Amino acid sequence: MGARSLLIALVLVALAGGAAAAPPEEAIVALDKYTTEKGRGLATTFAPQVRQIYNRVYHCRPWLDVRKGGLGFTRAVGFPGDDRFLNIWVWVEQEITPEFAGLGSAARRASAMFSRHGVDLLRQLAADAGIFADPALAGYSVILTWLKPNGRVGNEETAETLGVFADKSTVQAFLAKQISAREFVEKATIVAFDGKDRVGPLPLEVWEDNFATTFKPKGYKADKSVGC
Amino acid sequence: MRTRITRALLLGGVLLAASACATSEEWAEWAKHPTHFASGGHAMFSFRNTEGSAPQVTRSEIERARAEQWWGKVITVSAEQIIQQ
Repeated sequence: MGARSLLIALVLVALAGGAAAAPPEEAIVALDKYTTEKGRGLATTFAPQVRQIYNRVYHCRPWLDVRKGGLGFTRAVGFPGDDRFLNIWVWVEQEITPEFAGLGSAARRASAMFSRHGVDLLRQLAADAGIFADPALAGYSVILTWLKPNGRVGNEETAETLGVFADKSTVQAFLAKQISAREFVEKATIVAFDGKDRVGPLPLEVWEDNFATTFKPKGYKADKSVGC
Repeated sequence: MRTRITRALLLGGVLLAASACATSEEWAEWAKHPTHFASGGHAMFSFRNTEGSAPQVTRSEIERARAEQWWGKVITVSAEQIIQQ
């Protein structure tokens, strides 16, 4: 690399913003952040499993970045009581291709995002039988955020966010194909945001998409210890 | 501020020097790529293989490439609007 290139690269590194994935100590909700014993108890009991989920997403799904405080046993805003969901919140690195922009509506983009990444993440959250069996766990939730096509406002881009919360039996039945995608959507709680603004109910569709399990980034070398 | 920039420059230098998996040409191609998202086209993961050998990139290198091409603030929902700890 020439001296000029190196200088440019160094300057770019110095100007780097917040696009990188949160490290595990920031991505996984810290024990002292939990506001109830139920949440703290789940997080304590299943700390190794949660770390394993983080590692698998980080190394095996390099197009996803877990955000700060995005992985843990959280509650959904607006839900009564202290129902705890094993939650993961990721930033999806989605290029705004003509195909993606051409999906047209927020509902179609959300459907595409959830079909491609959300179902895969639900599968990873629900994979541990011990977590599933714990009576303190109410369900699983996946929150996805991505850049909105043509969403530039002044100097800022706008992101869209989709959150899907479902009780653990519903998630298990959906992943085992014992209930249809439509039934799953009907039973799930779905929230969506355009930037900071909550948007109305989205007619979410879920279809088969094997991107997450079949796509191998060209030249990408995953950590062998994780076992992608 | 000056210390932070110096630290960032030093860190960047160390990280760049450590990127032994890709050749300088491949790294330059990676770094200058205008799109930095995984997509159906998967442009960000495409390396130009000019020497006949398969270039490789690690997760930490992906992190760096994203950070270098990040444009700044994004209008998005806060955690408190969706989840509680």
